[in-house]
Amino acid sequence: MQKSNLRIIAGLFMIPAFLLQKNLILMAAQVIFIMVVAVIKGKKVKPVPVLVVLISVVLMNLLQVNGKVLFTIGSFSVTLGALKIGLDKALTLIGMLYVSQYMVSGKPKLPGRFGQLLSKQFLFFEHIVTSWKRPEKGKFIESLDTVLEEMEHIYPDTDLSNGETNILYVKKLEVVTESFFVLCMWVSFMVGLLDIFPWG
Amino acid sequence: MTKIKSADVFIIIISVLLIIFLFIRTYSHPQDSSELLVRVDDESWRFTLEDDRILHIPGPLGETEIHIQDGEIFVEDSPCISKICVAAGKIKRPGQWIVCLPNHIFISIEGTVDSGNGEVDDIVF
Amino acid sequence: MSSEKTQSVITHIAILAAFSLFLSTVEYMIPKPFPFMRIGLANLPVIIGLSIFTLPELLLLTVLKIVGQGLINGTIFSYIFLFSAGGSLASMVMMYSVYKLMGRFTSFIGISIAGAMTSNAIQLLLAQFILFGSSIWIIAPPFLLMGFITSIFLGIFANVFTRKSRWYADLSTRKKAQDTPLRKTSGTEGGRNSHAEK
Repeated sequence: MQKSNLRIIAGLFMIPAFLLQKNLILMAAQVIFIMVVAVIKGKKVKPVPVLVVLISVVLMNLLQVNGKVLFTIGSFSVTLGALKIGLDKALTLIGMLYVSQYMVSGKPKLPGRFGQLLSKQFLFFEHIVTSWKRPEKGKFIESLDTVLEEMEHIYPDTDLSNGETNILYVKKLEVVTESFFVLCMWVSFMVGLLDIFPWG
Repeated sequence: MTKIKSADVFIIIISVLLIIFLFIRTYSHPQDSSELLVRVDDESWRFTLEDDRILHIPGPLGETEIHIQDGEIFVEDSPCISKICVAAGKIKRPGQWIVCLPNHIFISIEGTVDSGNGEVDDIVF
Repeated sequence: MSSEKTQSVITHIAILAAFSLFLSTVEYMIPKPFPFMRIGLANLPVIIGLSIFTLPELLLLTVLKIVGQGLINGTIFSYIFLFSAGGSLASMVMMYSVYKLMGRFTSFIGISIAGAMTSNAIQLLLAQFILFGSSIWIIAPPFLLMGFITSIFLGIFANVFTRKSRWYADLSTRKKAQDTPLRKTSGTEGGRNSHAEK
């Protein structure tokens, strides 16, 4: 199997173990786990947006009161059931986000002509990022034009076959590590089935 | 600097109207959400009336089974002896309430009173 | 079309799609109070593409943009991806329709507004059903208002760009040449797909 696709497959196996998780505490553990894995693989975790998402999803769901009242602020009651639902949705959102971060951390290459187009798109993207110089006043569009025209001529129109002659194949060690991560997610899922922890 | 054409203005006007309409509708709409409030001693539970639900509220004598159905509330089963609360029937408007004294349960509907419907239909003891 | 021309169109699509990625990266770096508030910079290449691409080509551009964003941001298996994909597709369809039906009476401003409104509405609907429930409509008005205002600026930029850009001028003259059907020669099928060179 190509190295770049290993994590995609691993991630796909992780997804059911995460989505079917019943227990909120374990779900939170899974989310933290996958965030750590993503960081190990080189992806950045920005705490502020994650917190903002978490809080806003939970708050939105708390507006639909449901369950035992935990405390009241003014005329607004925080209910346990709504809190659980909000946390479930927020954790699912964040968790899936980092699962996909993990999946793309191996720079996957999609097969077929679409995959080639995608590669071309990314090549151009890198060109834009690296070679677009800050435009002077009043010449913004001209500088845009320059970059655009460069891209037409720099890369020949020939097919970009997965042009690397050295396609890397997976090593056993990598398969083992990624499988270990998948296993952790599944263990967490199965522990969740046992109803040992609260907030299930 | 740039040409604005006739249909542009048309689209702009429609969009502005739409946004204004949404602002008005969202923010000046009276809170039309009534809530079910259940109190047992010093604990309380709240639920919206929109979703159908079956609740089991614990009390000193045991669990009371309360149903939310089509925006109406009724007690399906109760561990008390007289079961007056079960016979009390359904409530659905703010201000109405059902009580089960033996089990320390007080069930009521809270919310803003809709236009003109402030009457109390029934009082259950 | 000869395969050379197809390749050339494909290159153009890839170029604009790459710009979409670039713009979405730029937008990602602009600090915003809520991660959900979008400026929609990445839609600009799609808007510009309206007048140089056919519908299938536009669709390809949109799909490339969606998938590319998903891969780069690593959102590809999350709900965020669904919202963004739904919004982009709906917006593209709406903008294309407006362009085709009212194109003579509207500049890119109106098209951009229509696209942004559609995109935001679809995203709100998806968010309601998947994530937030009906309480999301509380933030709907400011969300739509922001989209409305930013889309006006995007439309203005698209107007200016299509007027001033050399690259764009080249592309649109090429497309106009392709669009002219061959009527007079007998024996050839009419329509723009029948250029003589193979």
